[in-house]
Amino acid sequence: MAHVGTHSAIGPDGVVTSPRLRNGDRFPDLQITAVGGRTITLPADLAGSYVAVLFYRGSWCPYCNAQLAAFSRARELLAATDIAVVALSVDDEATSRALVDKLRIGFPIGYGVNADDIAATTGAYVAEGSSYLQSTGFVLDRDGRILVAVYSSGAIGRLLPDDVVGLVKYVAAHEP
Amino acid sequence: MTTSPRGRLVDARDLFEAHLTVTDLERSIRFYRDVVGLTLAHVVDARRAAFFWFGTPGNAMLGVWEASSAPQRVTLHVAFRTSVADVMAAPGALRTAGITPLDFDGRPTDQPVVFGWMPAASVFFRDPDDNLLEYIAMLSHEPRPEVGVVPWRMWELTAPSDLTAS
Repeated sequence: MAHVGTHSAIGPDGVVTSPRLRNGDRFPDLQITAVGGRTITLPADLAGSYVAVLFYRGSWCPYCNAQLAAFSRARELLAATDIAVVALSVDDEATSRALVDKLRIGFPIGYGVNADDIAATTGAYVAEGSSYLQSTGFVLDRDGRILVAVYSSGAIGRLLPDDVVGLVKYVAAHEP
Repeated sequence: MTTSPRGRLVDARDLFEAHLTVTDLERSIRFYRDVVGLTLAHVVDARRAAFFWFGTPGNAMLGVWEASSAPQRVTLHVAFRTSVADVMAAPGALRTAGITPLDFDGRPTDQPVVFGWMPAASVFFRDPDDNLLEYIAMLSHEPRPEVGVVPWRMWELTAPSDLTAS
């Protein structure tokens, strides 16, 4: 589950609104359980590397499958650029494990997250009825700060591994 | 071609020795004897070469040969088998000795990398001539080639929750 921080606000219509995260913000603390049973605390557990955080809609979503498969295929390039990947969705453990096996995913896949909790801390779009998170991506620097955030309100518009590698290479080359 | 009953010309059962080229034999003797901790076994001054035993004499051998003074270099790579505990402790031990521990891509690191297909944990470093050295230990875990080459922490995070450093 997510730890709801101070990002949420009640809008004039009574709906909880969550400001989008901005470049330079520290990524909010999220505890997720990954396929395999490990608990991962973002961003602390991956500090020291660049990180691509991917929220995907679910294993039923073909665009999400394509994205996760692309990150899986790019594992050597991502490792050579010191980029860790972690993805999460509302899917249950069995569904998530099946996706890991199908796509031969070697990075952590968080399962069973609460879409509203995640949305409250990160500003991600949530599908109607809070049934799932829309595609959302963040690239974090070595200290867990946001280099770029990509918020989709629907099926398309998401991080791709080549773009992430290119961005991180540029940032790394300009590190002080 | 005649082969042995096991289908090989000769039974090549293990790697016995490896050799590196260096530019300053005495400096390399100090490094491999005093820093890496190998046993200096034999020096052939006429050839500017030195030979070290790993552990007991006859177990395995490293040779270092002083090469030309040409500015261009070819650097070589050898890996030293050690325990998992020593691989885990290697980054700290190397730093204490004034040596920068490196990951698979040559970046300074504070943790081993894991080769998922083996699986094995490694820490890299360089000798005074930039030869690439490595401490490596096989892990008792199941191979996971899909993980690729990752920092130890990521290996743990993607592992079944009963995985331990052994």
